[in-house]
Parts: sequence; C-alpha cells; structure tokens
Amino acid sequence: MSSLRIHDLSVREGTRELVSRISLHVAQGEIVAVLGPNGAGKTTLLEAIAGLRAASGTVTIAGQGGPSFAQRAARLNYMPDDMILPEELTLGTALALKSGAAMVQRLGIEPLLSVRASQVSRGESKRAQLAAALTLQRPVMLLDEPFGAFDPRQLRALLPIFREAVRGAAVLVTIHQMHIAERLADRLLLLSQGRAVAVGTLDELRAKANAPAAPLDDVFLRLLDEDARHEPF
Amino acid sequence: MSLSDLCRRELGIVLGARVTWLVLAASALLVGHSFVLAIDLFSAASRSAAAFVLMAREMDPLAGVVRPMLGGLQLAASVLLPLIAARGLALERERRSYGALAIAVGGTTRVVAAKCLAAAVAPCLMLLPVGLSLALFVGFGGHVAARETTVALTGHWLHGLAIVAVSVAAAAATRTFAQAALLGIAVSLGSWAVDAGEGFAALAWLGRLEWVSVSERLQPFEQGVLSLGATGWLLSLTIGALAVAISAARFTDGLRRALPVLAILAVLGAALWMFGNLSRAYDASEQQRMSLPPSVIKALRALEQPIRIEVWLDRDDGRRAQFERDALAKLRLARPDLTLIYPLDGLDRPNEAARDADYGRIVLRVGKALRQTRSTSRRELITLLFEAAGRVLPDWSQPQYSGYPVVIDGWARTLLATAAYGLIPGVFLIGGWLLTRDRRRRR
Repeated sequence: MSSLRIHDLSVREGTRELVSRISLHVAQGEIVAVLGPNGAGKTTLLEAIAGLRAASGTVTIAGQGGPSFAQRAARLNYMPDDMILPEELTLGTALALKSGAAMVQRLGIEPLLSVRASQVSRGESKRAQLAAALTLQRPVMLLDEPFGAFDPRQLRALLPIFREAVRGAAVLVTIHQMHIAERLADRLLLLSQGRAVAVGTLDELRAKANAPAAPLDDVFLRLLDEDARHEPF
Repeated sequence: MSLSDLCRRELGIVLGARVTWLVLAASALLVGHSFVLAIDLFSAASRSAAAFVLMAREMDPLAGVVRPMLGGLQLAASVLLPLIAARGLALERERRSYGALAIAVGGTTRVVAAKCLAAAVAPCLMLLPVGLSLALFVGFGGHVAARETTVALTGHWLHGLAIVAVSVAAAAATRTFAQAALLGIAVSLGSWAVDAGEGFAALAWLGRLEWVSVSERLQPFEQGVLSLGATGWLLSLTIGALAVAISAARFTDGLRRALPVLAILAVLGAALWMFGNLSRAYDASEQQRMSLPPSVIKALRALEQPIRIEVWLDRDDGRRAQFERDALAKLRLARPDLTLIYPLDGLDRPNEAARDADYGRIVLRVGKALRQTRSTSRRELITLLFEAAGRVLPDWSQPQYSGYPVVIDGWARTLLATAAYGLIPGVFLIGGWLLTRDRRRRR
C-alpha cells in the first residue's frame, strides 16, 4: 500500500525543538500540502520523514515501519527546495534524465538536457528537478516548494500534469503560494513553530477558523493568529 | 538513478571541474621539474662515470631519475590531490543536493563509493607525466627496468588511492569544501611531521610513530622492493578511510555517528600498526641488487635461531641511517623475522649524556650467541652473524649491476625540459580547458 504514516515525529537541535510531535497519515493518491510561515519547520519535517535528519517518533512508509535509510530511499522520493545542481554537468547528466522520457517531453525540458547546470535559470533548473522527481516512480513523494520558480502560465500547464503523475503516490508537498495549495491539495497541514496548528480539508480548516467562505490565505492567517494567542510565553 | 548513471555523473563532476585540470597541470609541473633536475644530475655524474667502470655501476636510473620524480609526485599528491578528491562530496553537501542524491540512488554508501571511484581517476592521471617523462628518457638513450619501475609507480598509485579515500572521509565528516580540503591535506601531511623527526635525537619520541609514516611505506617501493607490509598498510588506510567515509556520510548525528567512526578508527589503527611492523618483502629490482647475494640469503634463511640486533646509535647519527638503508634493508629481505632494538630511543634523558663507552655498538645475537661491532659495513655485519651462528660465511658472489650511465645534454636536454615544463603540463591545461569551457548557450 502506498501511504505515509507518521506518528509523534519530533526533531530537536540542541535545546530547540524544530518539529514537535507531528502525527499525520497521507493515503495513496492523496496530496497533502504543508503550509506555514518561514521557520515553521516545513523543510525540517520533510527531511525528518526522508531520514535526512535524526528524529524521534515513527515513520511508516508503504506499510513498512521504522525502515532504515536505504529502505526509505527505495520507497520515497525527495525533492529539496534549495538544491543547486553541479555546475560542471548538463541537466541530463546531473539528474539522469533521458531525452524521450515521458516527463521530459511533457514538461518541455528536452532542449535543456544538454545545457550545463551553470547556464540555466533557477526556474529551468527547478523544472528539470521536478521532471526528475516525477520520473522516479516511488510510493511516497516529499516535495519541498516544487512550484516556487514557475510563472503563472507554466503553472497552469504544470498542475494537471503534476496531478496525473503523482496519481498513485502519497504526496506531501510544501507550498508557499496559497492559490496553488487551494487548487492542488486534498488536505492541508498548517505548521507554526514546529507544531501542527491544523490538519484537514480546506472546508475543515475554514470551519476551524470560523471563516466559511474565506480564501485559504485568510484562513491561514486567522488560524496562525488564533494559535499565537494561545501560545504560552 | 541507476548505478551507471551515478558513476557517469560523478566522473563528470571530477573531469568537468577546472580545479582537477589545474591540479593535474601543477602536479605535472612538479614532476617535470624533478625530472629535469634529476636528468641534469644524472648526466653530470654519468660524464664522470664514463671513464670509470666502478662509478658506472653506481649509475642507477631508479634511484637517480625515477625516485626524484616520484618525490615531486608525492608532494603534489599530498598537497593537491585532496582538492580533487574531497570536492565531489563536500560540494554536494554544501549545495544541499546530497540528501536527494542519496535517496535517488538508494543509499549513502552508493554515493560515497561512486565519489571515491570517480576521484580515483585523478591519481591515475597524475602518473601520466611520470610515464611520459620516462618514455622520453628511454627515447634519449636512458634505461628503465620495467619491473622495478612498475613496483615504484604502484607504491605511489596506492598512496594516491589512500589520499583519495582519506579526503572523501574528510568531506563526509565536515560541512564545507574548505573544511574538508583542509582536513584532507592536514591528515595527508601529518605523517611528514613524523618524518621530520628523523635525524633529530631530540625528536626521538616521534620514532614511536614511525608506523604512521607514509614516506617509510613508500621507500621500499622506490627501491623496487614489493613490501607486503607497506602494501597492506596503504590498502588498509584506503579501506579504513573508505569505511570512515561511508559511516560518517550517514544521516545520523551525535553518538550514533561518532561511535562507529571511532570503532573503525581503532581497527584501522591496529591494522596500520600491524602492517607497519610487517617486514616481509620481495625484491623486484633489476638483478635483485637490493638483496644480499643469493647464497647468503639461502644460508641466512637456513639459520634456525632467532636473530636480534641492538643498535646503540642515536637517530641523528649518520651511521644509523647508513645501516638502515643498506645492511638492515637487505637483511630484512632475507630474514623479515629479525628483531631490531634501538636502546637509546627509549631513554628520557638527553641522548648526548648517553654517548658513553657503549655508544656506537651494534650487538648481533643469533640465538644465545653474541657478537658486537662498531662498523655498519654490510659484509662485516653478515660475517659476524654467521660467526655467532657458528657457520662459515657463504659465497659472497652476486651478479654485478652494470649501471646505466647516460648523458642527455644539448638539444636533447632542451627538448626534455620543454616537454617537462611546457608540453606535458600544457596538455592537461588545454585538455582541461576544452572539457570545462562554457559553451555559449543558444537561446
């Protein structure tokens, strides 16, 4: 079964708790968007699930609990936000992308494959990284800000392709742009200071924020404000 | 990402980096400079030797030409090779692409192994200038014995591999390229501190660390002697450093990261100590000139009693160095099991005070029998050994090494110098430029 289940996941760095007791289940075919202000722990959460950071709690990937890093690596795919590709290599070699591959053609990056990573824009690099992530078919996908460098026209074309490509996987994706999260995600996880402030569908979050028809960014701000009022000093 | 994709990627990072080609060019220049100086000295000595047969026998191209070049190579490998070897993994960590890469290929071990394999190309390329220079030397009438030269190059190749593994381990244990390169260079130069103590009585305490000296390990190779101890030492260092790299590159922290690394370092230390004290070796030099005469070797090996030698000489005494280079090295080839003791090295008091009546003695024990001398002459020492064993000195005759004097001067010397200083480093620079230049992207 392609699903991701995390229970009581915490990440500490010295005395600071970067992620605090997060529990979540992402079902096969479900997209959960992780939202939160800067420093909320979105990237740390993804890194902990991927096994790139020491964490407490349990992570079950595709039915396997507490897997080693190699076992996790075989079942999930991770696309970091701020990765810089080796400038000596072409995009094709750096990401092992072959011309003619379905995702390469659908994202229109075939001409970029023979171009050095040092000579492409951030958006082009990001597009190639996303193509590589979507090409690697794994049961669980962890994507950190995959849409950050796309212009609106590209996004309009990309989102349906993305949805189709991840159809069989459990996807946890961090997103800063609320309108994308609104369009793409089945459920939303709102983080603040490493804690889960709210989890649910957009309607469930609206209900929690007492804003039945509000757009997601209003809901987001209301829930954060509400959380800040209850935050102990 | 498949393993072949990963290997192609890593090789691309090594060969696509300008620093790789600059390091190779600098290494070629160092080797070339050593080569030209060696040729000038060898030619000058050969001119004198032309008139005297005895002098001609001393004209040994392995010692006179190959060894100085390998000195240049050792310097380049120790100081520059970490820049190539540490770069791949260190930059991957700096660029935050390491985690995604490890997940894409299915584990950190594969990434580290691929990085090591790709970086191992560099020491192979660093040997090219040595090979080309020797080809030119032969082309101008010089003599190079294939077997002993191959042994010498093998030793330095193994040294290069060890530096690669140590540098990758340094990259795995640090956060940035600068830290990794500094640590790699520091470790690779660390053994030079031990070598620096040689010849200084005040630094006699460093003698206890001789088993970590890289130069000590390379010495037999440079004499055309294939030493099992030195080979095992260099291979252990490579494998141990690779194990440290694999362990330190895992995504764990605190004690879970430190304990396995410390355990590996402890095992590595034990392996280095063990191989550092292993004396078994095979003489691959031309006409086996590094060995004692065959009948003497046979007779020495036939002695059933243990041999123990006490040398009452300080580290800064020239006689001790002469004894080690000549008589001891040859004796060890015949009897690797002999026990050697330097009683003065263990004294805490200033050694000057210990230079009493006992000073300068070499005490030879075969079983319970004892002989002593103040001579470091090979023949005298072997004679006393057989005397102590109650045997007659066997036939001392040995095939005579004829020596290979050659004078390279005039236009030939100019051509060699041009190749050493210009052409060979230039090939690396131009090749590197062609491979790494930014081709303008057509938009």
